[in-house]
Amino acid sequence: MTPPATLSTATTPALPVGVEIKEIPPLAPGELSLIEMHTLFNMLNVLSGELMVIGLHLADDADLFTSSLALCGRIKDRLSDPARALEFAANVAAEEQAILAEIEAVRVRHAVPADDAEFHESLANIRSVFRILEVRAQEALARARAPGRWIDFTLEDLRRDFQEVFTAIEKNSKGRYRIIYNLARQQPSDYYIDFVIESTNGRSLAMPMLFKDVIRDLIANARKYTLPSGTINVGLYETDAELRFVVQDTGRGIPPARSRPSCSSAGAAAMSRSSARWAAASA
Amino acid sequence: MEVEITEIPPLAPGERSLIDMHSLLNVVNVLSGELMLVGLHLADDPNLLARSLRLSQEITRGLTEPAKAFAFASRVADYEQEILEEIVAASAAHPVQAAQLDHRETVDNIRSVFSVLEVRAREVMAQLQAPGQWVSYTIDGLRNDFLAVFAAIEKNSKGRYRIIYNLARQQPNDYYVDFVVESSDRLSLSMPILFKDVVRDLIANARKYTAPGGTINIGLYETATELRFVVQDTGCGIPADEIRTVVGFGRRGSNVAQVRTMGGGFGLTKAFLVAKQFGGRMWIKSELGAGTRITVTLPRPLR
Repeated sequence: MTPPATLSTATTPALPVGVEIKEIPPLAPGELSLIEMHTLFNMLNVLSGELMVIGLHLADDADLFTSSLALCGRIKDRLSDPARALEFAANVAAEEQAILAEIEAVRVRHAVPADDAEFHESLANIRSVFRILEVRAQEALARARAPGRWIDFTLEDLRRDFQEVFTAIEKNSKGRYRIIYNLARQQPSDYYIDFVIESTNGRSLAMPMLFKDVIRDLIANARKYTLPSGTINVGLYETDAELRFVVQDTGRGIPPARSRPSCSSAGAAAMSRSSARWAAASA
Repeated sequence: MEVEITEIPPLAPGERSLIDMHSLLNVVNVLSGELMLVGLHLADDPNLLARSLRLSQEITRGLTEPAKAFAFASRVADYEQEILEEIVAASAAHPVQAAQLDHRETVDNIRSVFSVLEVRAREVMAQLQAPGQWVSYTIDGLRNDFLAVFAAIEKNSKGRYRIIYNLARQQPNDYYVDFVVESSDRLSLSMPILFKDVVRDLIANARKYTAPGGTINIGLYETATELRFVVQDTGCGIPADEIRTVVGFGRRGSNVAQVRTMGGGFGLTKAFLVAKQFGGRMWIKSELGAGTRITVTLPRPLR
């Protein structure tokens, strides 16, 4: 007789496709630098977007901040040259000053009232973008000084850092969606994010500074390619032997033929979920 | 597609009692399975513990009658003693097999099954004595209770899978479970005792109909006006045209008809009836092959 069954298990595979990525096409000149500066590039895009929002709001003109938008464009061009990218990273405060000066000039010229909520909200966003830019720029400079170095982070700090990232992502949506941390609180236009960080010592973990960017970018990607009401599960774990990061979303997925060697959001939803796993041997 | 469940087919006599005793029934079924394992380990005979198996069957049948069910719930300790005595006697008769690790682990499991049964029996009796009462639980206490449930589910798998709480630690045979409990005062939340069964049953269903390697997200949240529970899995899903009917007593999705379980097939029925009993609502969202999301809300009683 067959031994009595305990609880049985469904047999549908949890994830239809799991591909180890071992190589990618060679990079063109400048692309590696752009990748290293990816996070700054993204922030400059957000900044440009906010400037265009204010321009549209005040004068129905997305190019109202001509010199600031041109400055953002020039900086983005410089990011593909490592030396010039670092030059920008060391001078974020000066660029901030130039952009804020133009905003102030426009504010005066258009006599923006003190109770113009949309203008002041965008201005607050721009200031917070600069706060983030400064942090990211400092990280880029530190990386350049000691490439490949692993840095210790307390789990508490890491959780707080990423919480701030999620808050910034939500704020940047201008009310289009919220990010929620309890599935039972999720409304149809909310994302549910579950984010767990652990290490064997229970207090801290170490990673290359660039890896923090990777985590941030992959989570941002998961959000980007998942509709509101979706779920994003994130896990980070360090053992004595390795650091392991996994992000999984309920987004549109990647057609199997595209998951190697490059990713694209184009095409039909061939998978209902996608996940990215990354593991590195500890230094 | 998210569907609100607003009605189910009428229940046959005895089915309501079985639903009320669902949490006991599931554990008694697990107990029967473990007793058969003991027989197989000791003498290659699943019916070796004939008296205990008969007793389990009587209990299972008795759960359809409220009076008998209550009598059982109040005498769990006596049944435990009776069954353990038979195991001790059978072990003494097969000393070599009884010394094997498999046997010792199974007996340990039976003891832990009885620990669970005692808790469930107390809950059932409390529910029968004060139906409709909302009970306050500390958030920490609830988390610990459910961690114990997950540990029991994992143990009962006998090594076939693990339950993991960090996605980055998940191996292909592991389930990733994310369980968040919150309330507006951050310290405690209250719910009907029966609702704890519902939460447990719906989580167990999510596990059952999801392959290892899958993810189960769970949220429980209490505000000043309502209690809201959501469980979402990456499992087999329910065929779209069966979402409304699968809630009927003893019904299962046609796509999982072949999955062997120890359950009676009325976890969803119970969830709906409890939601209805307390003036709540229930929704099911499912996509075949992708997963299922179940939401149950209960309005909080006026104070």
